[in-house]
Amino acid sequence: MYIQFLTDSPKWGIIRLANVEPLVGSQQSWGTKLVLKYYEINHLHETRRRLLASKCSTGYPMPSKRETSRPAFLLNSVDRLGRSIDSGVLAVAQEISLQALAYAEKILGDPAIIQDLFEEAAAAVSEAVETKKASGKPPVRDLRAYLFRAFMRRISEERRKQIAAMNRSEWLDGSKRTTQSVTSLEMNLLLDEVMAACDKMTQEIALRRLEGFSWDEIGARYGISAHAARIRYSKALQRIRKALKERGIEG
Amino acid sequence: MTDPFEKKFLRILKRHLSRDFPNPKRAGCPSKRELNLLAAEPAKVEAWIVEHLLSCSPCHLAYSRILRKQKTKRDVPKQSGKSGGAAARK
Repeated sequence: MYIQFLTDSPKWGIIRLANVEPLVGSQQSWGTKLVLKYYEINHLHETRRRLLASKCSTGYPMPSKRETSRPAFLLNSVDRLGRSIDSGVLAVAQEISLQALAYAEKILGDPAIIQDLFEEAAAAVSEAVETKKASGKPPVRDLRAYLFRAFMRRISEERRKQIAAMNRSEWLDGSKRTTQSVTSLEMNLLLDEVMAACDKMTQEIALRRLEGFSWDEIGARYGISAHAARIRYSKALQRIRKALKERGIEG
Repeated sequence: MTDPFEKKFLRILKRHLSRDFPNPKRAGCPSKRELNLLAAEPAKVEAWIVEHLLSCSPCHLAYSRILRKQKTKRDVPKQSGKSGGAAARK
């Protein structure tokens, strides 16, 4: 059964209480001594919540240190790309938000980016859930873990981008240019030279090897044997190896 | 792929081709149809398209996606030996 009542100040809004039991033998009035097993407060600021907690001292769970240091996280129901978030996913997201955001903050640092990524992950997960529903596939077993993994993937991707941007700025700066980056530049020039010197088929074979095509697959595509395809490619590799040696770059 | 040199070569080549040639205006890029044709029947495509793939990151990424799709679909013709290939070319 739910009981609704107004607090002392109308500014605080309405508090909905469930399973409210007055203390046996207590002579105190309702608002001050209640055992609250479950409560939900709408649109109240954290400080007001704490003030209310001090009023209803008995049985009220003390807010943890983590909660007091961090304001309650409110997830938008739409991510930055305009995709809506399913209510089920939203609930799970709210549940794991404190831990997930704290963890991500240690990696990335910027809470604004982290919040965006969290919303983006939630939207992507809702999309996946909807797709699974529509196609009749079995639903996600552990939505919490699924969402957390999706979020962490985005965090690591963002971290990689940050590192790449740092490296680029170092390169442009010039003062921090390392011998390693010079070597990689030479290596790239050499690759361009050698690849340009190859015939069309060898170039295309290299592109297919990049995507993990087997020799059989490549040979079948060109109508030659797997061995012939391999020989062509090996010759190009040999040329690169030789050129690297000549220029004193480690292979 | 057992040769560590090849592994390293492919890793560097992939990174180089997919990052170092930004072509935001897509100048001189072949159409998607031509890239699809290259993936399906490489012998029928002109040489400049393959050369372009080695100097345009967006095209290289697009072609990589096409090849990956092709690989997952196992859309590869069955090998029928040298003579079969020659017959196919005729």
